[in-house]
Amino acid sequence: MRMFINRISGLDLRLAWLIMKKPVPVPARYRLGVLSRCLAASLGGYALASAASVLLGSLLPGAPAQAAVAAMMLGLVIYAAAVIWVFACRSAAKAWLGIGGCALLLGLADLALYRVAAV
Amino acid sequence: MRESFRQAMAWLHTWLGLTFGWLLFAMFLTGTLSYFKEEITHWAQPEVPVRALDTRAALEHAQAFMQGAASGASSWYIMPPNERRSGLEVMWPAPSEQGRAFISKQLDPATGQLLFVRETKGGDFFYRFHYELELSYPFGRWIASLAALAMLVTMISGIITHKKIFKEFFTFRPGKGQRSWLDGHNAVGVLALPFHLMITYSGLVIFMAMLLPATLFTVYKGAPAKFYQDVFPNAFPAPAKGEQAPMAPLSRIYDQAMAQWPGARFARVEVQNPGDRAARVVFYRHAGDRIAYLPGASLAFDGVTGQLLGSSGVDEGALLVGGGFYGLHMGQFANTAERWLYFIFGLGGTAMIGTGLVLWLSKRQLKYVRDPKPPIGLRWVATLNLASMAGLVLAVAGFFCANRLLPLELAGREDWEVQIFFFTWLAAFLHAALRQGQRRGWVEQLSLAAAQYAALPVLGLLFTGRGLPRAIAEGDWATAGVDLCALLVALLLAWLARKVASRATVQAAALRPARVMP
Amino acid sequence: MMLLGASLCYAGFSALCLAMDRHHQDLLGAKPGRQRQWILRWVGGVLLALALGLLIAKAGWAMGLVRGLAVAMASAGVLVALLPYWPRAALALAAGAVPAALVAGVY
Repeated sequence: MRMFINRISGLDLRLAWLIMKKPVPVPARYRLGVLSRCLAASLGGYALASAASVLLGSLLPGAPAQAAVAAMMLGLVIYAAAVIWVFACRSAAKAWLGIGGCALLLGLADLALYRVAAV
Repeated sequence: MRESFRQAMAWLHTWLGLTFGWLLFAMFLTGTLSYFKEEITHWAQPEVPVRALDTRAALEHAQAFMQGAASGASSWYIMPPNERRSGLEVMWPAPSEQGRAFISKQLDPATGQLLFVRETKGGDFFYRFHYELELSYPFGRWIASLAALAMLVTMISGIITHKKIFKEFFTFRPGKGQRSWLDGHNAVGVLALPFHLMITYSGLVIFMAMLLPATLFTVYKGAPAKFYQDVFPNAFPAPAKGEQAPMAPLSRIYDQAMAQWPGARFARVEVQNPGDRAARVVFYRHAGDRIAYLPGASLAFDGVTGQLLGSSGVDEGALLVGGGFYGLHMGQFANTAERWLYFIFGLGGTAMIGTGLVLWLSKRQLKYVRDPKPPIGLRWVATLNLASMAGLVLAVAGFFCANRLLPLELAGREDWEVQIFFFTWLAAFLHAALRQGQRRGWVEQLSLAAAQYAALPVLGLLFTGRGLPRAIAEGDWATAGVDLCALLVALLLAWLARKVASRATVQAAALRPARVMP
Repeated sequence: MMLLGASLCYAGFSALCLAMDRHHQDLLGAKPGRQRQWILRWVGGVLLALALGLLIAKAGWAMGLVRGLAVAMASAGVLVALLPYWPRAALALAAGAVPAALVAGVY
């Protein structure tokens, strides 16, 4: 069975809460989904931003100081965008796939460039 | 029912805003105060005389003093006076057994005399707090940076959520309860949006080398320290030769520096290996001479012959853009009017966060107006709102009062002022918990704060040699300005306290609630 | 110069504000017609551009943009703060601020 951590059910319940004005217990599944997204955004997002920044630093033209500064500035923007994306995703699982996948790809690219440079 | 992108962003904005709002309020308020940190420091050290600006003479006096007091030191640091700072500060590395990194003294810039100045952090306390949170390196910076990232994401999600951002651009409807709070929150946010986005992003840029170390590590192939050599080439001294040689007069070198860069201001003069044949004098340009903060901009001179060795300062490309962001955040380039605008927009950002926190609570409290016992979560939010906002304002007042009241010769005086700041904040938190963050707690804390701020000019008059009347008479607008602002703040807080006290508790429930957010 | 820039921005924002149905109705009693809306939007835009242009001409791109944005934000804030409490003063300021700044020679 596909593990589908859906934030929608949590939201339905909270809307019901607003209407009924009675405290309804939020399901553990919802809370887990939120926690999962927070981790994907903070940790996964950082990995993605750092990997992207490293790649940009290696690829951007100009003096090392210039490339590094440009890369880090862009990395910050990428981090913010990644966080937004994680919470806009339909599910936490999809968020992890996207962030993790991108971070992995960029990390591999970084590694490849590092090997090439070392040679 | 499918949740749209906008609804997801509304959820993110609400929860991220709440989680980090209390900390961000403190960072924004102390950061805003930092725009006048030189003036606050000057107010906090009335022993420093106000003199006509003469950088050349000040450097002569500094050199004479250092030759006597710090002849054996490996380096000298001289901070000459400028329009915003009237004192002449000198520093040199302290012997290791003293337990601190530098010995710092203040001299009278006109006579060179060593001044006895009360030990205080002054405005620098707020400046460092807003990015270090008075926590040890590097934890404070990391937490502050995390909060800054949260701020950036909260702002972006807020912009996405605000459907009628253009339609309601000019909308502010006071006197309508929660609707007014939302209008206010949107107004301070949207009208100064360029400022808020710039401040938040630039704050992250300032710490980006710490936040993304992997980049420097890879670009500099395992030796990230080389980045700093690229950016600050003059900061790394050659080793001392061990031969004594008399130093050239700093005033003569200053003349040469001014010839190289006409009209420049210099924030700092470093003397590396003073008294040695390998002595070097580096004049660092004041960051406020241009918008971009390029701390490497400097002129290096041979310390014995006074000959110009070279200038440095990368002025182009990404470094210029990054420096531009750094400079926009610091606002060193600002003249008086521009500095006041920075202050006002900073207060706007603080208000944006504060109104957000109030809105978060009042929306949910609507359901419990007739319920004597709201859920514990809401009571905690109410307590934290009160403690982090009114409590912080009280703590700042406590810090200022401590500066006026603590004995001048008290050992560790500057640390005591900081401790009083935190004790006051803690007391405010306990009081807030006692009052459960309700209206009465607000009235009490705001009233007490109003009284403390109103007392500041009086304390200054009684306990320092430079009270408000004398400061105005002497044209010392830094000291007078802080005292006068304290009075204004006192009036504002008193007015706020009255408003909170007079408002009916059921008013919020009677009014049409603003759009429902999940 | 910054004061003139601020006056121009204030006038520009006032025009853009009046171009909106709700504000025009609140301030002047009736909804603006299509043509008036179009004119007000253009006038507002031109005034804002003029303010920015003047500040850039005086102080260069960097300082000019910084000052331009600063006075724009400040003047918008003043307008929004005045509108609910003293609407007629707000409009009077829109009409009079620029001439006053020019006459006072504050540039």
